[in-house]
Amino acid sequence: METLLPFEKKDRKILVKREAETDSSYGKKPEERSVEELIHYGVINLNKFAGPSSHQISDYVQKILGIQKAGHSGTLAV
Amino acid sequence: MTGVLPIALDKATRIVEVLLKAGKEYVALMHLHALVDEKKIQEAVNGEFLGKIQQLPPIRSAVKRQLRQREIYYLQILEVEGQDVLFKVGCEAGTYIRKLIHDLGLKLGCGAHMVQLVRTKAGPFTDKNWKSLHDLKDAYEFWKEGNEEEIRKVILPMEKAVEHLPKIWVMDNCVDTLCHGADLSVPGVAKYHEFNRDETLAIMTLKDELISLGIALEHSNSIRKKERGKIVKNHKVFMERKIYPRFKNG
Repeated sequence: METLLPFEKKDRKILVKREAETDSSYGKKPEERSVEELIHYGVINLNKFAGPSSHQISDYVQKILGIQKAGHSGTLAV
Repeated sequence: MTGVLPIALDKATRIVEVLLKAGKEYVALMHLHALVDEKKIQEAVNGEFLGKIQQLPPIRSAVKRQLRQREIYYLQILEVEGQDVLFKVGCEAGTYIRKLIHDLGLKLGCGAHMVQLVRTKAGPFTDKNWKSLHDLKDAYEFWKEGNEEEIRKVILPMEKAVEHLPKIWVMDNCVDTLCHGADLSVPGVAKYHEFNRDETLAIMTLKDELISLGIALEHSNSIRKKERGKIVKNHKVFMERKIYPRFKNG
């Protein structure tokens, strides 16, 4: 049995409206961000262990990285 | 609950919205209250518990207790040992697995309860490359000592969180107006995935940076047919202003 979520089965094609260039003097590719930038514009695929709540885990992450905000994808509807 | 818990950092915090709505996968351990023939379990799993199901949220839940429809995308038994059944389930956001197990138990006539639950997918995040809090702490220390290799494996660009959404790429000259909250019009579109009306889209720069989340005002076919008019309503902006220059009539 194939165990794929609906979006994983989608083969999205890119359609072009107009050919366009991007000016390299503005912005940067996500993989070119500095670690400091990543800390403020990043996500962590965390493996939560039993015990602390999702909210507490978010707090730990904030403390480790020294940031003011972090959000988790919801206390789970189990 | 244990398992995949994506954490969005600082200015990316609100991106969790699209993960809440994304499909999930769990590995669950069910304990049956009597011995049941494996064939019978298979039949139940491949029958009415697959596809659209009706669920009454549990008594202790955050939502109103009324029947709601959820979709089970797949249900696969991994192991049966006596009265214990380990299975994998792919489901729509907001499916109660504890309830699913309870209902499976009723169907099998013996009753059942959930013993353990591990989330193995939350949208584009899976158990294949998850990291522990410990990994994060170590990676952060390494980085402070001058080695950034590890932290780059732990902290991913926020764009990872929109991998499952259809995207629309815009011209450089309308990036900043989008950062100011304006809606996207057809002349600003460079490339796009197919999408439906009312679908949530990730609005991207041509460098594949996430600008904002938007809600499609029309089907993507309109982009091909039209040369003007609004196509995406801006919903949540993530990119900071002034990274791209501001053009008049962007």
